[in-house]
Amino acid sequence: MKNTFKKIAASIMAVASLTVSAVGIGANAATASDSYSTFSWSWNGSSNTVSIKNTSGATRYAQVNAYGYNAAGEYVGHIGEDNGGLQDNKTLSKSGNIYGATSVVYGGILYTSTSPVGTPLSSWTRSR
Amino acid sequence: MKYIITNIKSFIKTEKMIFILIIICIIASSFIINFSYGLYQNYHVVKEEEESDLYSFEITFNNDLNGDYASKDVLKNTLLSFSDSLNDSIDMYFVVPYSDEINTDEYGDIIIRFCIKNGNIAPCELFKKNMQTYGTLVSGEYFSEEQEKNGENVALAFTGDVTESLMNENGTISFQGKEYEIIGIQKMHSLIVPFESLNSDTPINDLLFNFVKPVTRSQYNEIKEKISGAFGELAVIPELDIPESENYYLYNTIIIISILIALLSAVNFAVLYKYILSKRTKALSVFRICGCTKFKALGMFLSECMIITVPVFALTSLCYDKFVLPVLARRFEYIESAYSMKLYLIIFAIYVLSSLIVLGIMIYFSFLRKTIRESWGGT
Repeated sequence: MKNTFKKIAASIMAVASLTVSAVGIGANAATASDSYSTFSWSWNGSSNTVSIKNTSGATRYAQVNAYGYNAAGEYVGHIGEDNGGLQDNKTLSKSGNIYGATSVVYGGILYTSTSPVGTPLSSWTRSR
Repeated sequence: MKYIITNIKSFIKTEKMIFILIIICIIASSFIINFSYGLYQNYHVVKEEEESDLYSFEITFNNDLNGDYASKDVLKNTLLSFSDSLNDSIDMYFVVPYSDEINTDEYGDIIIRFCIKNGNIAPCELFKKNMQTYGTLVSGEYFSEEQEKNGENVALAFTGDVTESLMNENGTISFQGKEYEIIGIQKMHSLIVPFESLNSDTPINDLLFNFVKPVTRSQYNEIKEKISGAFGELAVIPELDIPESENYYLYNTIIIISILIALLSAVNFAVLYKYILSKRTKALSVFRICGCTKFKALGMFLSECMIITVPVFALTSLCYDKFVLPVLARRFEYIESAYSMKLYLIIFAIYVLSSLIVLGIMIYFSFLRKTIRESWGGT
């Protein structure tokens, strides 16, 4: 019982110490845009959302993802979604939890056609 | 078999005290061997349970950019003042420098990782390996030993437009008033540069330690003492509940003492039995004159020992399991789960085998190697 208590206390302290940190924890959101799309990403603890809005005037193939890495740079999880027919002014969005991530790299791509080939119209990479 | 039983009867009848001592030796051996094994297993579980699961912890600095703040140079000197053993146990230092040149809200923090080797800043091999493994180093090379040590102006630029905003016409990056040569492209942080290349007065917002093994109390105390000494209240050091390691030494000591006592018990048994055999020198000589070979005699004596040892050892193990173990379990909470019938049999087999070897060597070299004439005291 004593050991279990110690273990739980240590874990809570460890989590607490990381939670207080300024390294990308806490609710936050950001947006970037160009002529063809608006890319948004947000996080609240382990919860992440990444989205891309098609503003190109035509239906496109779109893809969003978020990859999580721990402090040592090890991959810890990812979320992702794609849509082969994202209409103009529509948004492709994906939310999910990535546990144990110190850094998350968000990506969004909007292709010229309705398939993932050729040079993308918009390509976004952001991190936190 | 007839002679073996006769010998035992005669032994009990003529040397009651020695027989009782031998029984005590076997009981002690059985108890201590069983207890040592259980304690050893308990120690391992306790060690596993009690060692903190904490491989890393983070210190943040309450920087006032217009007043007191944690600067890169003070931090570096503090880290270099850590003992060699502490620095060797940390496989990654992770720092977040303050920068007003990059919009960190949009592009993320500049995060710099390094190690300390032989009193010098060195590349973080762990991060380098992970970047290569997980493809976050898109192209180029990670920093070399020389580049980290000398703080060369080289950079791993972020894939994307943040790099373009910092880029000069000649393909270099401007950062902290210096030109950095791009030697690689990565997709993790807005910018990665060698720690030593940062300006000496660069404010450091966060510091994270990553340990090879779970953090120990003494490591934590050393870090806390040195960081507090250098930065005072600027540093927010988390209070961590890390168990003391003194318990492990106690366990180790108990195990070593148990092994020594078990060894002494075995030696005692051999010495006591040697005394019994010395009383039987004449009987042994008569046996041999009547055609008993050395190996038959050896077998006879060993069988006698085993007939005494095996039931006493087994009975002690049974008593240990039924009566002693429940009491011990109150103090050593994982000890009960360490045992099974198979394990008792293995312990028993090991004891029997080692006893046979020790006694066999003792009997052979003390009595059977001699000729019959020598046994009688002749030349």
